[in-house]
Amino acid sequence: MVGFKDFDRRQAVVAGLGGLFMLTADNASAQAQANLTFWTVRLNTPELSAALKAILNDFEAQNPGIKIKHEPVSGNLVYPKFLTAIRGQTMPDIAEAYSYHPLQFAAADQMEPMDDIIELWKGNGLLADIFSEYAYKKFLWRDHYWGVPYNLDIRPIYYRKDLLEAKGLKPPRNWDEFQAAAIALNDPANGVFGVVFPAGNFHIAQHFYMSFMFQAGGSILDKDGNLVFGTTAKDANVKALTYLTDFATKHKVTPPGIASYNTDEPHTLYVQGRAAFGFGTGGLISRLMKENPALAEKTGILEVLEGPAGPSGKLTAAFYNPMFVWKHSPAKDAAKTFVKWFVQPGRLERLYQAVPGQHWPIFKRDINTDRVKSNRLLKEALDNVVPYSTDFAYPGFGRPEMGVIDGEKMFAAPVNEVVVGAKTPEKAVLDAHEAMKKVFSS
Amino acid sequence: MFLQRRARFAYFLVLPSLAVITLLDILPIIESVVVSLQNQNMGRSNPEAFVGFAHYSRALFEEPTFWTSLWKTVIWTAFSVAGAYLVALGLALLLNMDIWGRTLFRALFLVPWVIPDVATALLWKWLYGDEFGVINFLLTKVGIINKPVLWLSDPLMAMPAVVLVQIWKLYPVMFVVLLAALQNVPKELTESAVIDGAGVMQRFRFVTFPFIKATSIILTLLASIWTFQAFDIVYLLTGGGPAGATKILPTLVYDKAFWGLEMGYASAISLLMLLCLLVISVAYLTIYRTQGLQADEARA
Amino acid sequence: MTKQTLDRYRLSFTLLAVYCVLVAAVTVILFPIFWMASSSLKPAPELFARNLTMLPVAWTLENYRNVWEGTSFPIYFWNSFKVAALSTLLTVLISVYAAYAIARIRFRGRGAYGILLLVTQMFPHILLVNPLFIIIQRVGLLNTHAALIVAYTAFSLPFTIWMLRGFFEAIPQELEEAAAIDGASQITTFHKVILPLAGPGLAAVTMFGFIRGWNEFLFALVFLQSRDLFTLPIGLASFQEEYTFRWDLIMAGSGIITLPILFFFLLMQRFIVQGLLGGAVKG
Repeated sequence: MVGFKDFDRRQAVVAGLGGLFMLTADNASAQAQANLTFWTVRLNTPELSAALKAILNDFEAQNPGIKIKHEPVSGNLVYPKFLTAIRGQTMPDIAEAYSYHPLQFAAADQMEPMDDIIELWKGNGLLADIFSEYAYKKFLWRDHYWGVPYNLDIRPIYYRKDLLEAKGLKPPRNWDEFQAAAIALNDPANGVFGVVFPAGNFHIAQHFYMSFMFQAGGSILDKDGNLVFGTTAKDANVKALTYLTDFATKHKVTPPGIASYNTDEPHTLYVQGRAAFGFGTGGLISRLMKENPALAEKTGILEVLEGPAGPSGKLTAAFYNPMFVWKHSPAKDAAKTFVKWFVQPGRLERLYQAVPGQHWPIFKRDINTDRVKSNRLLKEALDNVVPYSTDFAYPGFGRPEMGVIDGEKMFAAPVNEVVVGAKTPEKAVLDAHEAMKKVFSS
Repeated sequence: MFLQRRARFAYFLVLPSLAVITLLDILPIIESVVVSLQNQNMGRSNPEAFVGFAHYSRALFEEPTFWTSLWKTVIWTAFSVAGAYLVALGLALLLNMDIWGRTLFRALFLVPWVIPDVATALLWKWLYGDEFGVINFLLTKVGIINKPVLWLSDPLMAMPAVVLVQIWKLYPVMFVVLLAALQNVPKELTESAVIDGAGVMQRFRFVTFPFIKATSIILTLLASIWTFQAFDIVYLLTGGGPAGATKILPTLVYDKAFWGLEMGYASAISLLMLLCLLVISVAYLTIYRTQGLQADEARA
Repeated sequence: MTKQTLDRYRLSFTLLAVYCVLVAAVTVILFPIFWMASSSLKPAPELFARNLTMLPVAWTLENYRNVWEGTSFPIYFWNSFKVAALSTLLTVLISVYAAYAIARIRFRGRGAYGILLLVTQMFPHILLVNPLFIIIQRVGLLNTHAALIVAYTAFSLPFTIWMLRGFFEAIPQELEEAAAIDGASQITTFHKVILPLAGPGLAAVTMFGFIRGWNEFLFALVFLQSRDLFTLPIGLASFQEEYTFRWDLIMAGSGIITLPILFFFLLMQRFIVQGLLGGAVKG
């Protein structure tokens, strides 16, 4: 038999371990105050986090009853994070995330409708000040708004004015001119690629494909929200995919390795002066200003191209990103108070200044400021890209299925597969359609 | 009496470990069997509806994904383990000599083992870059290549590239075990073989190898089990791409579960994967039994 | 030339060749780590220079400062340390007794227990992560370090018990019998006589558990939601954003996560080697 003394000791060990776990457990403090958790996916770099912190401090100073805890969620890990949060009921109160998250989570009965905020904006004129009605209508599903837009995220094409001039060319306005210019400016001897775009299996790859899709008259959904990617829109979508991937496979004016490129590689190559045309996010503007101001001087932002579909298809992918409130939040009212405060003209100026170009306001009175007009690149983006912005579900409005299609990168895959020569454009489009159909049929 | 008391004492000592292992290893497996028989799709209603073997038949008969991924996993495992074994054996043979600095070299060769997987994956991504990667830079500089090798962008190169990283990560453990096993080879045997005029290869094959054979089999099988289920490196390095070239089973499971939200289907695939691993482990146990005896005989 | 001098020449030639190969191997194998260190000390533009230099032209600690002061890395660092240390402690406590039992005591079910230890090592983590998530949630430990500590312990145990068993088996049975005759209780004998002799084994298990806890990625990713609880691997992976990929931060972050564990390893590597041998070869 084990002696009494030994048993004592074991008890002590068990008790000690228990104590250790107590130490590690979260001690949630129950105060009268509303404590809100705010998850962000695109305000996470040190620069933007600092700007956001200052904004949140303002809010807390003006709303003494509410405390906001900012928790950045890496864009690459955002799906697993949200999903496990739903399953584990550890959701935040408020989040800012990808376009179709609110609808997707609404379909899973996790979202708080935002109709009251839209109503409020209708009354006080803010809604009329949002420069595209698509920005909020995309969050309308089953008669409710499940999120409100708070920023615009653009996908411009940057070009080298100096290189174009040297060849006596004008900035291309349509597909043929663009193709000709990219081929003409390709200059391997000097390490300059005609065009650099991301073709890895990442979200960004499908954004640029989307722009060309619209320009060719194609789309993923029709205006009633039915999937037409591989049916009625097939020919246009194949045409767009062929046009885009030809730069790599046929004309060979891209870096040979674009099949693994995410956003960063095209940005870096452009900043180093190694791309005549570079596809990027608005954030490239600030990288250029910071890392290579001389090149920023020689850079222009291309006006959205006209493709086979003509003027009606003169569109570009861009994203009105949502903020949304979780249904299970114990402090929904406080959360909405925050959203109303946060999405107002002038509030986010600090974000825009921290990384110029990366975030764009959604209000007209915010965008036509001296800050934007005095910066040539911002001004060009404002004139040449912003007015043509639309996203995924165009010409339909939002559907929850788009969340899965975006999440699984179902139309980045075709770009990737065609660039590496694994599939023909037609086969890639049809395969992607099959995958999307599964999502819609469920 | 004494024996009984001893046995009871033993149960007492084993109990905590048994409890932890049951709760955190066995219970989850049971849970995942249940989930694999249910609908469990976040996008659909009624997640707990019983669907029988629908997910299994989808994986095995309806979609090619499971089989192509299984095949890729086999390639990934076989080449990683074979490569790591050869590197480990080579280094162990070199260090199996009484030379100055042996302990230092041994320690240095073990270093890759402690580098965290996340850092390893990101680091190699940095090394492999087509335009900014130092490997391509150095190869170009010494004139071996005149255009960058597309380590991570070319579907044909991506698998070798991730295998190389796994070898880098895997060989150290094999190396140190083989080094120890080599100490069992009696010096006199090698010496007499030299006197008999045996060449290096012959000496290795007929004198050295029999002594490390049992260890080698166990090691390669253990390494296969580790590699078969390895996730971090491939996921962070290629995410399964390009064009699915490195989509091994663990990355397929992760994508289905966390991006596609199909928990039931993902569980079914991962249980099929466990089945494959159990086959490997049965082989491990059988071979271990027979080879263990042989090794004892060889030593006797 | 006599045969003897010829032999000596041959020997020193062989030795030279061996050293050349060894040095070449070390260079190739450690180059990635050198490159990480070098990159982490370069200013961002130098990282992408067309003419890469092996060492930074303008050395800087700026990247480290950005990571340490501009992100929550100090918190992650502490979290990683806490999780690794506590799970190691738990692992060592549990495995020491279990390993002793299977090394020294014949009891019914010992064989089955041994097989259980082997088989559980084969469970793919990707398979465990989902169901374990549900279980952890049910007991209310989601988003706590306790969940990670218990999970890491469970995953280390099969291997550490196996590893320690080898050490206990190597301790002469007579020592224990002599103590038993002296009338000491079984547990006292174990603590006073056996345990001190297994020192290197304990050190090896400690190191093993710590490395595992420090490096683990998948479970930390799934079990932790709050930023304040993140561990270093998650913090590092978070620099790989969807629309920004900060190599300057990633390299410095890798340095921060690697250095302590590397240092710890070099300090203790002798025991690790012994531990791996005790576990794997006898296993």
